[in-house]
Amino acid sequence: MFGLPNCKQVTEMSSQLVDHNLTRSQKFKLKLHLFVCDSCRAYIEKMRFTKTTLHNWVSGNRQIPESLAIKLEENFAQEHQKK
Amino acid sequence: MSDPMDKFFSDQQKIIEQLLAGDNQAFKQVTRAWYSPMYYVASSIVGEAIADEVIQEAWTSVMRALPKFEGRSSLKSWVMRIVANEAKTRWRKESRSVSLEQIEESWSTDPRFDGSGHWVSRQSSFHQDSPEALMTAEALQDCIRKHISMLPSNQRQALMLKETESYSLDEICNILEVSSSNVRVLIHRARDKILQMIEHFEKEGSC
Repeated sequence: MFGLPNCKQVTEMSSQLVDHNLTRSQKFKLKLHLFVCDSCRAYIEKMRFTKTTLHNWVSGNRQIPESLAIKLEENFAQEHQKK
Repeated sequence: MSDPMDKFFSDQQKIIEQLLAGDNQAFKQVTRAWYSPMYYVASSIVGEAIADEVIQEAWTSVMRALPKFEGRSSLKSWVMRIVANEAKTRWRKESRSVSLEQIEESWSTDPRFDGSGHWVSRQSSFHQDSPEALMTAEALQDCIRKHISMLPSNQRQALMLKETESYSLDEICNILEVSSSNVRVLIHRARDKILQMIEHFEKEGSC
């Protein structure tokens, strides 16, 4: 309706919205849709939440294995000695 | 109270000087702090089995190139680019290629929408207040791990590169050799699957 995206299209644009990659006109149309659609507002909120969850996951979820840490430090010392 | 780690990472020039001077403590701090994003980038490109090997090679390259580091980006972004390049070189040696075959998987018949593209059932928000609160559930962490590993490889690669927040969209396109519109689709589909997984976890309490 009036060239506005439907709910499915809004979900497809949601990642670009949370990544700030939409054009002004796309963002305007999407916001108009969100103004009248509770479900899409809830979906966008969940998409933001998911993005943060994934970022936190990737940034800090995994600890370096001790064997790798030791190897890296040995290599670092060797590289420095070469200089 | 400010975190001593935040203080350490706030002075990039000092870190570079310490690394160039062979300061083992500084090296230990950066390798530990950046291991997680480096691991997810490397493993998404070359697989878990050789991800650590790639990280090792990347750090050797970093230390050799550090005297020439010009500071055009942050040190972390520069290190992240090196690990992605090392992983990509390794991936080429294994003659793998990005396949977009899975890109059209059942998206056109998403059961959440009716024929005119409207939600079939009303959507509600997550119950948890914050991603941090949500992540305290250990079972959910296992679930995220499982679902990330189940993503088609091109979606997993695009997602992991994006969520490190170390690469621009253009850089991700170059690393994965896909167009920018495809990379956006890959990132979105991967996130959407994880979103649906979190929804399911909140409702059922299991994976």
